Amino acid sequence: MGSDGKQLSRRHLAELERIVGKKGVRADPTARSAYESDAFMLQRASAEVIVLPRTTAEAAAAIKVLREAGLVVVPRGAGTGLSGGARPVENGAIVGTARMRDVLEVNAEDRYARVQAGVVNVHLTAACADAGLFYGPDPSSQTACTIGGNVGNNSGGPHGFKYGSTNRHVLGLTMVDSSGEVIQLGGPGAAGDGDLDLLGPVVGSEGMLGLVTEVTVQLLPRPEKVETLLCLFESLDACCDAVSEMIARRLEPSAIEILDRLTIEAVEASVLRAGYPDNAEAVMLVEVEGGDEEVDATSADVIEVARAFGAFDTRRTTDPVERKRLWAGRKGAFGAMGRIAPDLYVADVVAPRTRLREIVSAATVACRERNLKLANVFHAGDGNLHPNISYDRRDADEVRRVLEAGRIIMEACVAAGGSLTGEHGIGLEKQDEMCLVFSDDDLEAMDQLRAAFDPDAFWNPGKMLPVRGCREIHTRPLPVHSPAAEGAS
Amino acid sequence: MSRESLVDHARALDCIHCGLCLTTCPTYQLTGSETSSPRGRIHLMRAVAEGRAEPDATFEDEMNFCLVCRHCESVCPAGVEFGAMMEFSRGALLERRPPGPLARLARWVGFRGILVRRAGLRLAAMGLRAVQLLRLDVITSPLLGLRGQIFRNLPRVPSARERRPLPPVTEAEGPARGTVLVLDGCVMPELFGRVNRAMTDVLAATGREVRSVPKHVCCGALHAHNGELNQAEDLARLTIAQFEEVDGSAPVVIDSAGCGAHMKEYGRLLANDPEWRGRASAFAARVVDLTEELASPEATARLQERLGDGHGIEGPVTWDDPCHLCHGQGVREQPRQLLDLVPGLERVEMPGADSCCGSAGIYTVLRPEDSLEVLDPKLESLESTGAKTLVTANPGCHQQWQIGVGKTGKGVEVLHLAEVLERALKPR
Amino acid sequence: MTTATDPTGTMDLGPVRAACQEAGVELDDAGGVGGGPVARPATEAALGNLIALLADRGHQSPIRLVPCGGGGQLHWCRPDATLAPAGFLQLSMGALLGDPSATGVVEYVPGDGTLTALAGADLSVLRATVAEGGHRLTPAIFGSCTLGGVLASGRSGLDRHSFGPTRHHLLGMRMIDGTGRHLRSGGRLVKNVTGFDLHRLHAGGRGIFGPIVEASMRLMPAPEAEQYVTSPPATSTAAAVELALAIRGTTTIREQGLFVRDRVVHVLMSGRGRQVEADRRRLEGLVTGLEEHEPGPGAEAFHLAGERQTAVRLSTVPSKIAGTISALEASIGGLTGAVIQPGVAQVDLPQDLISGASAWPSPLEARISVRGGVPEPLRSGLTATVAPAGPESRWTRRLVEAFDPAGLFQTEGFPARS
Repeated sequence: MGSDGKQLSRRHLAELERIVGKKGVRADPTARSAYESDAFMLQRASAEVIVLPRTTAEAAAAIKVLREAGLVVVPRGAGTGLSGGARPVENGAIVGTARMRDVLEVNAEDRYARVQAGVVNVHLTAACADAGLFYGPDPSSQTACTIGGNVGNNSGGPHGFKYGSTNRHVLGLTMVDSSGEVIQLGGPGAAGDGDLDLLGPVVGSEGMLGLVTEVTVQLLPRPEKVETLLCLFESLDACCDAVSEMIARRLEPSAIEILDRLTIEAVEASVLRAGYPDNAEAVMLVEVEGGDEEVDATSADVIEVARAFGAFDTRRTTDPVERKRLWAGRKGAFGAMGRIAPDLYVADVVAPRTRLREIVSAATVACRERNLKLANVFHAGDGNLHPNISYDRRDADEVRRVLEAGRIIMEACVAAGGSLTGEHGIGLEKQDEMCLVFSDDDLEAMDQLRAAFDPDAFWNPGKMLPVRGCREIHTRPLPVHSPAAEGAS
Repeated sequence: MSRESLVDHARALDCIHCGLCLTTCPTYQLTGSETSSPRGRIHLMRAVAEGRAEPDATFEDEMNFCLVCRHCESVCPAGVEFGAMMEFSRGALLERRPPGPLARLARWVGFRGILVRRAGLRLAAMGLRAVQLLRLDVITSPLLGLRGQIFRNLPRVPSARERRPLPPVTEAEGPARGTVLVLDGCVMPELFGRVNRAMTDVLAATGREVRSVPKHVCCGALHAHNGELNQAEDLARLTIAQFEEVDGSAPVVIDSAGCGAHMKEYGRLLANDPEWRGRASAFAARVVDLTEELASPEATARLQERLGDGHGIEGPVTWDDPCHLCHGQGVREQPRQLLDLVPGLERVEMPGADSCCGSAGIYTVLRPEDSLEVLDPKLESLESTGAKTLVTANPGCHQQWQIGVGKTGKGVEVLHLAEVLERALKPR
Repeated sequence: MTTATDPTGTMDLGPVRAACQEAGVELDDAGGVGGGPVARPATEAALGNLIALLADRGHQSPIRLVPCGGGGQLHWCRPDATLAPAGFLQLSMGALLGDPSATGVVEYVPGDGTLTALAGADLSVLRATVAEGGHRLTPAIFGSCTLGGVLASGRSGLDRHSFGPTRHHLLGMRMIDGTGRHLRSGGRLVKNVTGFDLHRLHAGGRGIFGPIVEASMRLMPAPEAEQYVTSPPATSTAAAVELALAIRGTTTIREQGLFVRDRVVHVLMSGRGRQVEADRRRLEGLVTGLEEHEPGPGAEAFHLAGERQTAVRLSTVPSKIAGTISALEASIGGLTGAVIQPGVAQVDLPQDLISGASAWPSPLEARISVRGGVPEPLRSGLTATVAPAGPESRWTRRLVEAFDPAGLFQTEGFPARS
């Protein structure tokens, strides 16, 4: 094992530089400090070294050196994650994929692409645009986040309503395991049905099962027609109820998003001003895709429901420039909150879609009682809420109140049959809350799954699973589906 | 000097670390290192101000590695004023860690001796022309390494006739549409005098009476970008006074994007000077880029009458957005609209037209290696378009592209937008 | 680990009988599928206890368990258990439904488009339940099968074409592992990334990690209209496949299901009424002489026409399917067919078609997944193709050691080991 397990020896450093080149290693403390958090800023830690390989082979070789040096490894894409998944850990290196950004293959006929893990989400879609194809998942950070990072978090995005999250799009992966061995899982043309599905658990494993270096994803044909609808409401409650009704009526747009007034104001004040009207308490942004006939029919249904629930104005457009502007506003909404306060806590909970209004109200109350500024912007169609709480991290009491409110929102969601996270992951942020949902046995089983891939806890240790046992955290698991409840039917 | 004063801490707090800026940043593209990204640099500034990091050599290098292209500002949803923060930090670093004696001398000669004095600029231009005429550049460039390559590729200094200043007044052609003031500039008249004259001719053709400000030399943009903030403030006051002397209300039309972006921010630059604050803001509001002026409906209507084919410009042409035009001033559509007005000229879009070419003022000279590396992907983009002519609107970019095109030997012509329009003007 | 198999052998029921008694589970010596022994636990707790007891004693004598619903999927899931039912103790998942008239539905939330049901629930009963709320359940597999059986066997229906594989619609699960622990993973929501997706191992895991007890599924809206049409027979399977590929290649015809059988192309279209009409017209521009069929409820007719008991499944990218088919038909000497999907194409080879074959075509640019008994001449050619690489093999071994340390649920040949 390495020198004293704390610092990378000169020899190991030289070895790393030989493998990935001098520019691929950042070892001095100032340079490393830029990696001390991802977009989840409440917790920081210092990495021992930052390694930026360019190929799978370089990554594998670097992993061997880091392992020999006695370090553990945190994989990182662009560091846009919102739960601390890519934050360094003690005695750990960061292996980043930011220099692995080649689109290796776009196969138009068989509709797949093979990319290096560091390819930025929008660059993939740009690379297959000429073939009339696109890549489904579109997280709001898609202009910066990487495909590898999307795999780690099983990322969604507004259009996840129709297309599903990343796990429905990954056909194959190339990974480096903790011994530096390279392995391929799946691939184009592999149906995977009836085979042991190792790919499934890896997608969404938050970098804890290995380093993903290449990804094969399916591509979708660009729809014949795309229409974006904007429905304006005088109340957020009515807007939520309209979404619940659309789901109940089984309408199939490709995205249903809600932005509340504070979010609209922040967006309109930013470079991304989208032309959202300032007289609405809530805006519903809906996208409908498909053939001409189905788009027309579905759009008409959406508008009918919106009006029935009190929408005072509805707009629709198929103009690509206008549509892009409307979406840019939605996608930059998190960042735009920076105008309200220096820091932003982005909650990410999921509620059953029959109970949207209830959870939004619970969040509003929790924040009002704690004198916190709350802005809501979320993937309503999926029931995936993002209550955003603005704060200033230099105010310790405010930080405490923010975390408290975050916890209350999560508890309300879980009590309503919801979950802790829809797309941002557990990371460091929600480890303790895992006990709200899972029993000690469940968590032990998950840890066994992790250990089957990584017996030595080499990959991103200390994330996702609670560090202490649930009994110690004094939380009771979710009362509903407990296995003890017999004969559940 | 305290750590806080090194950094514009208040502005740094606007950043919520979302990372949406990463992919726009040329130095992040180059290195893949978050430390060399806007978010990383803001993190460093904040960490230094909050006492969690040292303002050491790495810090300084990351500050200087930045091209201040401000592409990140165009995508920042939180509206972080990155360019302003960078000017502040560079200024503070200069005071805290003054450069070595030789560099100090070079900076003094450059910023105080040459840029701000017409005589100094003339002398430098004459010197360079002499070197070029005697082919000394070819002999000496190998000795200078990369800097020599740039030296050799510097634009040919034109003859003295070409370098003559603009006339104080150029008459409007046709029905008059009022007066505009133009900026002769520091380097422009010495290296790109023809561009200034093209601007004047085109403006006159749209019915503008064009007045120059003969006394004026430098707007101070390069000083501000490189941390010489005190001198930048002095130059701003001087510029305002000299322009007001000629005309107190006419629009100020700029054909150099870097100068225009800077002059539009005089209000912010002098915000702490109660005497000048209001005056600076009022002046800044008069500043327009040449393309903004020409894209107005009135000017466009006049141009349409006057533009014809037979301009001899080889197409297709492509427009490369100068950073300080698209990111600094938010001007994107106007230049394209203007190019599309020219009959018989096919325009193609260049992928990544709004990303930096690596010129970035005097960055080319300060960090030649990085500058050329940033240019490389742009050259690939240019080649992918098949364009025969590249059009821009900033002297730094103009020069950088000439270096790049010279390197590839593809023989693409680089023109200022004003030159394109002037060549397409039909004789009256 | 006790995985030694004697295909004709019978298990010593002594320890099983004792454990069943202790756990309070009814044991029927010969009432299971194929006349094998079956345990019928009345509660999940009893089932967990039984497994825990057998796990403790597992090292003393080889006991092999197979979770079993109606047995309808056993040949897909665990062909060895079908061949030698006396060698396995079947765990009846249907027994957990209690009352024979129970549907097994735990929770159907029409407003959220989700269904949670016990593993032993009959798929057709579930399909009928959600149809009342305007939903359809994927996979569209008809005939007798249970939710747990379909999930464990990793089957997808022909609706895979539009919805992707079944596992993509699995939201969460409750299961009991090989040590008798009651576990849960995922949840009941359409979007959720909380924790590791343990349930993804069970989907297609063929029961080797223990029985699935309950599963939650995302539901799809029932379509407004459906049309089922077929082409006239083509001159060869390859020609029919080319036609099917042409249909798939258009992005203006939104077919929802597509397969070739006996040189005929079968197409299912569904969705908004007017869109289906428009797509049908476009299809007519591509194929002359379409014959329309009554799709029946849930387009049952289409799905039944495409179903086939499979011994071996080959899958490849669509662009290679025509070549694969030609090579296959030349080597096995019979007509095949293919299921064409947007990103993958599959050939299902039933037992009777390959029983007389002596060799695989070479080279074969397709992945092979073994489902049932494969005749000896073909078997040897398979080992090399299906064996996984080093790390994958290690991961699998450790997973089995973690979730079934006594080897109660292990079976020969799956997962393939190197």
